Amino acid sequence: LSAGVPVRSTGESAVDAEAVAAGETRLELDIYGEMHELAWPRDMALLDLLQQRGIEVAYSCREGTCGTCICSIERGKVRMRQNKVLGPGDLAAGYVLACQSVPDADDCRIVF
Amino acid sequence: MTTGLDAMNDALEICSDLGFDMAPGFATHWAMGAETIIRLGYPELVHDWATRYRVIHKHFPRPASERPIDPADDASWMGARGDFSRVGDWQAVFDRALAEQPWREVLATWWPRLISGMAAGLTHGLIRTTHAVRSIAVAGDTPSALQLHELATGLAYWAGKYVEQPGPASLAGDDHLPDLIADIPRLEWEGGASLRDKGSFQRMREMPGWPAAISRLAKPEDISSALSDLTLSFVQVNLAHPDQFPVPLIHGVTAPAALRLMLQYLPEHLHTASFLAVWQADAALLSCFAPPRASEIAARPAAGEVETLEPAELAARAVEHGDEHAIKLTEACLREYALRPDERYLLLPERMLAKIPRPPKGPGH
Repeated sequence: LSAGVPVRSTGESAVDAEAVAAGETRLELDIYGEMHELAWPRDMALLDLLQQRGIEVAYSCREGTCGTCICSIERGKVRMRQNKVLGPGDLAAGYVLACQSVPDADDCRIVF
Repeated sequence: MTTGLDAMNDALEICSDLGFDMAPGFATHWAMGAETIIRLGYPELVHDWATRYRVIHKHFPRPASERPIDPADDASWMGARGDFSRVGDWQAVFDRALAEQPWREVLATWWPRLISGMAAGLTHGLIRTTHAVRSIAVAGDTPSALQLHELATGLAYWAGKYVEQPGPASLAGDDHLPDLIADIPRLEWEGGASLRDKGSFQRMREMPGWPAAISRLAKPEDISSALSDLTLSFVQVNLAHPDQFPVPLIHGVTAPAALRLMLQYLPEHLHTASFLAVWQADAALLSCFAPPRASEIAARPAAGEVETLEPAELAARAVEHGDEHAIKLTEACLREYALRPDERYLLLPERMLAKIPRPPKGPGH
C-alpha cells in the first residue's frame, strides 16, 4: 500500500485496493476525520506504524498506562501487548491503545 | 488584540459541552490548558489550541442530572460524594449554588467538604477548580455564565471523584521537607499503582508506617514557605526519576502550586487544613508513582552547575510545545521560581518539554 496519505476527509474510504503483502494487515484508518489506508505488519505496534508513516496522533507514555493514544477498533481484531489502563467496559466498547496494539486479523478499521 | 478574558470565554464556548473525562477516564484538560496559556502571555493562541484539543481527544459525554442532591442535607450530599456516576447531579448542585450565591461563599461552604479528597482524580478537582477561579478573578464582579459553569464543573469533578485520602487529622511532627520524602513508604512497585483505583488509598492506609510517616511533618509556621518546600521537594523528586512516565508525578508540583493560588480566596481558618490535605495528596502521589530512590532528595545545584532557560523563553517553548501538562507544569514552576529562585524550578519543565511528546497538529496539517 502507499504511504499514509489522506484520501478522503469524511465518509468511508474508497481507496483503490493495493496488494497487501503476506503477513500484513489491511488497515483502514480514520485519523480525526482524515482517512488513510495502510499495510500493517503483524509484529508492529500501531503507534510505531503511524510514526513511521509520519501520521500524527496523540500519545504519551508508550507503556499502556496513560490512555492518551486510545482509539476504537470498528472492524477486525488487535492484540495488546500490555494494558494497564483499559477496563473490561472499555475493551467491550472497542477501545484499544495504539502504542500496544498489533494486528490479529487480515482487515482492520480503526478510528481516532 | 485578544484579551485574556475574551480568549477564556472563547475557549469556554468551544469546549464547554465536552465531558468531564477523556476516555479511558482521565480528566480533560482543555479549560486548565487554555487558562494557563493565557497566563503565560499567549491569549491569541487559545482559540486554535482549544479547537485542536477537542478534536484529538475522545471525551465521554456529559451526564445529565437525574437524582438531585440536596446540599442542605448531609446524608444526601455525603451519600453522593465520591460517586462519579452522579457527577451530573453534582454539576447541577454547583450550577445552582453559583447562580444564587457569590462564588467565594460557595467555595467557603464546599472547600472543607472536599479537601480531604484532594488526591482523587490525580488532584484535578483542585486544579480545575483553581484555574476556573483564577479566570473568574480576572473578570471581577462580572464573570460570564460560562466561567461560573466552568467553576461548577471543577467542583463537580472534585465531588464526583472524591475519595477520602489517608493521613492524619493534623500535623504534629518535628520533621521537615524535603528530608521526610525519603521516609514515605511506597506501594509495592510493579510498574506503578493508580489513583484511579480506590484500593490504592486503602492500601496506603493499611501499609505499616504510612500514616505515621505522613504525620511526622511539622505544622507549618508560614503556609507560603511550606508550599515552596513542598513544590520544590516534588520538583526534585521528578528530576530524580527521569526514567518514569512523568505525567502523574508532576501533579506533586502543580497541585500545591494550585493551592497557593486558592488561599487568597479562602477563609484563613482553612489554610492549615488545606496545606495538610495537599501534603497528604502529594504523599499519595509519591507512594503510587515513584519507586524509592536514594537520590530523590538532593542539594540545590551549585551556581553555574546547571544552565537553565530564561523564564520568558521557557514559557514560549511550553506554549509552542502544546501539551497541556508541559504547559501547566511550566506555568506552576515559573510562579514558584518567582517566589523562591531555585534553578530546579526552571530545569524540570525544560526537561519535561524534551520528554513529553508533542500533541498532533490535528486535521489539515
